[in-house]
Amino acid sequence: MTTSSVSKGCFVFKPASKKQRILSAGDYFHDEDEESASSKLRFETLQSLWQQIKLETDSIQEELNKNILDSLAEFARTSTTFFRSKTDEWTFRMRSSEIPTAALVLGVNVTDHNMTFQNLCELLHQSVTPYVVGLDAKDCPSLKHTLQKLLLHLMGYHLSVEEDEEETQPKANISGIPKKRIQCSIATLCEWYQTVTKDSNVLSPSKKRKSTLGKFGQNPPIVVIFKDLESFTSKVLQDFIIICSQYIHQLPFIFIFGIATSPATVHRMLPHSVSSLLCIELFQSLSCTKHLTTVMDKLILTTSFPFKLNGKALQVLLSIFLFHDFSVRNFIKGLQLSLMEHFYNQPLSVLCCDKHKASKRAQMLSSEECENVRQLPSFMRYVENQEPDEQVKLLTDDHHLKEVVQQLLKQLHLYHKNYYPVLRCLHVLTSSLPKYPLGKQIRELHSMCLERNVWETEEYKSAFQLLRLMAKDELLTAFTKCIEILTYAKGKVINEVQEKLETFVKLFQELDNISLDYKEDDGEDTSPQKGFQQKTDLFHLQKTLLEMKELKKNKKLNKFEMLRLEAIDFIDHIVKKHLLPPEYLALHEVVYYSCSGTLRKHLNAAPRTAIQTALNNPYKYLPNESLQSDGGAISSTAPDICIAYKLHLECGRLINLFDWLEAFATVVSATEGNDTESPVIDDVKHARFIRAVSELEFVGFVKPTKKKTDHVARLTWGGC
Amino acid sequence: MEVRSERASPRKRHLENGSKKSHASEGEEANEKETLPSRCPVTARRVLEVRFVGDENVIDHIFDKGEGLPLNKTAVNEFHPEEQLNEELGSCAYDEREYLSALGTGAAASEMAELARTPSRNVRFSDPHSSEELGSPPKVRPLLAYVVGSSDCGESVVEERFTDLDFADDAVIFAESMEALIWVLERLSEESECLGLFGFSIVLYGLGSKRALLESFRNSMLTNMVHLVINGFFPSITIKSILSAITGDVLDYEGSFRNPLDQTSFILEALKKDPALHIFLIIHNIDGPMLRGEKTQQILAQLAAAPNLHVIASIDHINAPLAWDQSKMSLFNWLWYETTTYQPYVEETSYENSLLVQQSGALALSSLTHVMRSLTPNARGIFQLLAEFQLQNKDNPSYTDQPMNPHPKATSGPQKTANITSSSSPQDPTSS
Repeated sequence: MTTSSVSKGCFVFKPASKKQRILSAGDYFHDEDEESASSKLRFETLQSLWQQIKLETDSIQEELNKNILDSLAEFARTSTTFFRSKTDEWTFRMRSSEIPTAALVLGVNVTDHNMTFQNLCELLHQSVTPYVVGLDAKDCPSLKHTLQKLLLHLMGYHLSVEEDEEETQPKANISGIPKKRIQCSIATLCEWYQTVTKDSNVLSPSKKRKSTLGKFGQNPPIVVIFKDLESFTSKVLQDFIIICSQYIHQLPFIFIFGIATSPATVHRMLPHSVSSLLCIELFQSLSCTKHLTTVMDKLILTTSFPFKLNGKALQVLLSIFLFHDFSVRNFIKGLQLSLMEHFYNQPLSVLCCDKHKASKRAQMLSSEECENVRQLPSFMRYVENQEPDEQVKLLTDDHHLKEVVQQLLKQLHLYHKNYYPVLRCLHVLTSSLPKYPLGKQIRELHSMCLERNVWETEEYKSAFQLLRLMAKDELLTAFTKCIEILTYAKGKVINEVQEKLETFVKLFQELDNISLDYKEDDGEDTSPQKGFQQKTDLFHLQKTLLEMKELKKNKKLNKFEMLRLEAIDFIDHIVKKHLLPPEYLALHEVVYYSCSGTLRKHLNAAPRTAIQTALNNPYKYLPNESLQSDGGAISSTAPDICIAYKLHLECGRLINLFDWLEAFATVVSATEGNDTESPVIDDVKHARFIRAVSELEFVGFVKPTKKKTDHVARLTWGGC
Repeated sequence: MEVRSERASPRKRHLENGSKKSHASEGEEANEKETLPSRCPVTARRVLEVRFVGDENVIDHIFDKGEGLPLNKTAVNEFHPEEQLNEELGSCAYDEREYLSALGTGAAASEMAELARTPSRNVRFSDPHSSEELGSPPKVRPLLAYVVGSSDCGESVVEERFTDLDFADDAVIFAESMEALIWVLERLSEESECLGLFGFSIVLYGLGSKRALLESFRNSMLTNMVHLVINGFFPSITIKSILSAITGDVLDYEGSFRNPLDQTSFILEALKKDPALHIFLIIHNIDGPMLRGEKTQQILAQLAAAPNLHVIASIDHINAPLAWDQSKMSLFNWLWYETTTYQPYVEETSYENSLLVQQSGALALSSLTHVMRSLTPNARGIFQLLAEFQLQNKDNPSYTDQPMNPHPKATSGPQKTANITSSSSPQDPTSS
C-alpha cells in the first residue's frame, strides 16, 4: 500500500495477522550471529540498572521537595483553620476577604516542575483536603475554560466518590465528562460545596464518605494550583481572582502559584487592585543546581551503580544542563540514553554489574566474547606490559583469560571504591580555597580527574601551594571532615588513609599544647620589623626587604609548618595513588561510556545549521572532487538546490524570479562548456530551477509575495 | 513534461490571482483534488519512473565494479571499493544526458543507490522474509559484512567507522551520508523498540526528503506492527483526521468526540488499558503547514508521551524547532538524527499551494463563487464588503495576507492562534 495520495494524509496499517507479534525491546538487542543469551543478559542488566536509577532519582526528588512541600501543606492547613474559626472579629473579616496564596518560586527548569506538583497534589490530598485542582495554562485560554476545568475537577471528584457508594442518583452517571454542560459558574460550585460539606457533616452518611471527608474536618479548603503562572493570560487570571474573592466567605479557596522566574511576576501580571485581594506568602524551592549536585552525588559519584560516564560524555551532559535548560530531568534522560547506548553497542557490557555478578559472568564468557576482550585497547595495553609467556597465555588460553579478567574487574571495583572517597576528601580540602583553583563543585573536580592526571595540571599545583599556606584551624576542620567522609567508606586502603589522617589531626592538636614553647621564636621575628618601620629611605627599604626574604628562606620551619607540609604531601600522595583517570585501567571500557559525540548529536542537535551547511558546502556531505569549491565560487555540479541557494544569498529582500532563473541557467550550463553570452534556458533547466525554488520555499528560505510581480521574498539573513 | 514547462514559463502573473484564498469551500477542494492527479503528480510519477530504471543499471554496474576489486585487510583500505564506487557514482550522476532525463538534482542517482543499498544493511536486523522482499543485491552483503566485522573494538560500530573515514580524508565518498542513513535505520530499528521501554521519540533533520528513508524503514521494520503514516506536508491534514484515524481504525471506536482534547484523552486512556498494543506514528514533516499550530503540537506531544505510542518524525523547515517549547520538548523526548539525503522533495512540493503547481486562480475564484452562492442575501452583502476590503488593501504592505491565509507560517503560528483564542474569550461567564 502506498502512502502518497492527493486526497488523504493519514494512512493506517495494521498487521495482516490478527495476533500482533509483540517484540520485547530485548529482541532487538542482539545481532543475528551473536548468541542471544549474553545479549539477553545485557538487556536485563540494562533494565534493572535503569529501574534502580529511576527509583533513586525519584527518591532524591521526593527528599529534596519534602521540606517545601511540608511547609506548603502547613500553610494550607493554617489558612483553613482561619476560615473555620468563624469569629466576627473585625480583623478576621478584613483578612478573610483575602485569598490565602502561596507563591512557589520553582526556577526556570519548567520540565522538572510537573513532578513537584504531582507530589504536592498527593500530599495535599492525603493530609489537607480532597479538593485539589491543578490548572495548566494551556487548558485555560479563557475564563470560561478555567471555570469549566475547575468545576469538572472538583465535581468529578465528588461524583466519583458518589459512584463508589451507590448509584442512587442518575446524576452520578455523568462521571467526569459531563454529557450536558453543567452551568459553569462559581455559584454552582458554591451550591455544590455546601451540599457536600453538609452531607458529610449533618446527615450521617455511609461509612465510606465519613472516611474520606471526615479526616479533613468540617470545611476542607479548595486548593487551586496554577502550575505555570507566567503562561496564564493576565486578564483571565485577574477575572478569576476577582470572582473567587467575592465568594471567599462561602468557599475556602487557597491558591498556589507556580512561578518560574521571580516573585515580582505576580505584581507584573496583576494590578494592585487585584493583588490586594491576595494574601501572598512566598516559598522558595531548592535551586536546580543543588538538585543536580545531589543527583550527581547519588548516581554518579558512587559505587552503587556500576555504569560510569567518561569525562567527555559527562561534560556534554553537564554543559547541556548548565548552558541550555537547567533541567535535571533532561540530565537524567541523557544518562539514560548513554546507558542504553552503552549496553547496546558494547558487547562486553555484560560485565557491567556488581562485583560478584561480574566475576560470575566473567567465568561464563564465551570464546567470542573472550576475543572481544582481547581486542579492547586497554586490555591490549595490559597484555603488552606482561611477560612474554604471560602474553601468549593471555592471547591463547581462554581459561586463563577469564581468570585474569576476573582479577582486573576486581581491581576496577577497588579503584572505584577508593576513588570516590579520595575525590570527596580532595574536594573538601580545595573547595574553600580562594579563587577555587579546582572548582567550586565536586562535579568540576570529578570531570577534571576523569580527563587527565589531575596532579599535572596547573590548577592542582596552585591549589596545593595554597593548601601549604593554610591556617591550622582551617586545616583541622577540613581534615576532620575528610575523616568523616572516609568513615562512611569502607575498605582496607581507605581505612589506612583514615588512620593516617587521624594521627595527623592528633599531632596538630598536640601542637596546640606545646606551641607555647615556640612563642619565643616568634619574638625574634618581630625585631627586624620594628627596625623596618623606622627607616623610610627607599634604598634601605629594599635592602631590608631582601634581607627579610633571605631570612625567611633560611628560616627553619617550625613544627607546625613541618607537620603541615607532611600532611599535605600525604594528601598529594594519596591523590596520585587513587585519582588516576580511568583510561589507565585495563577493561575500563566495560563500565565507562565514552561516545560523547553521539550524545551531543542526539540530545543537542542543530537542525538549521545542518541544513545550511548542506546547502552552503555540499562537499561536506557529498565528497565529490568537483564539488570542492574554494571561496564563494559556485560549482555547477552541485545539487540544484545548492546552486539556487547560493544565488539567492546574493539577493536582497525581494528576488526577481527571472533574474534568478538566468543566473541559475548560467551556472548550470557552465558544465556543458558552452560559453555563450546568454545561456539557453530550455525546458529542462526551467523545470529544474522551479523545483529548486519550490524546495527552498519548502525548507523556509523564500516565500511567495504579492508585493511585486514575479518576485519572491527572502526570509533569512546572513551569509551562512 | 509539457505541463511542467508551460507552467514554468515566467507567466507568473497568474500567481497574483492564484492567491491562497482557495480554501473557502470543502467541496471545491475535493473537486480540485480529483482533477489534480491528471495534472501535476503525473509528471512527478513519470520522473520517478525514469530515474528508477536508470539507477538500477547504475547500481548493478557499480556493484560489479566493487566486487571486482580485491579487499584489503586494513581498516582504511576497506573503503577503497566504495571509493571506486563513488567515482562511478559521481561520473554517472553527473553525466549530463542521464542527468537531464532524470531531471533530478545532481545527487539524485547516487541517492537512489544509497537507498537501494540501505535495506541490504538492514537485513541484519529484520526478519528473513522481509529481506527477501527487499531484494537487496546479494553481492553487496559480503562486502558490507566484512566492513562491519572489521570494526573490532567495543566502541559503537558506526562511530568507529566514522572516525576511520575522517582519517582517510579524501576517501570519504558519499559514504558519510550513506553511512548515516544506514546507521539511522539501524538505530531506528533498535531504538524504536527500546523506545517502548524508555519513551524516546525520534526526529530526523537535514536537507533532502526523508520520505523514502522512512518508507524503507517502515517496510522493513514495521510490517508486523500497528502503525500510522501521516503526511504532514499534505495541505489539508488536520489533527482531527489523525486522531480519528487512531480512534476509528486502530482502536475500532465508532463514537464521535466533542473536541480533539477529549479524543486525545480517550486515546491515552485506551493505550493505558492495553499496554500490549504498540502504535507507531510516522509523521513525515511534523512541521508541515497544517501541523504547526501550537495546539496540534501539544496534542501530538501528549500522544508521544504515552509509553506505548512511538513517534518517528521528520522536519525540514529551518525554523521547525521553534514549534516546541521546553515542556513540549520534554513530552516528545526527542532524539535527533541528522539525515542529509539531498533527495528532491518530490512528494512534498507537489500539492496545490506549491510553486510547482500552476496557480491560475481558477480554484480561488470558483471557491469564492461557491461561498457566495451558499450565503443568504444579507450575508452575501457582508461577504462582498469583506472582499472589497481585501482588494482595497492588497497593495498595502502593512496589511498582510494573513487573515485569508489558511496556513500560518511556522514562526507566527503559535502566537497568532493564542491571540485569536484569547480575544474571543467571553468576558464574564458568571452572568450566564
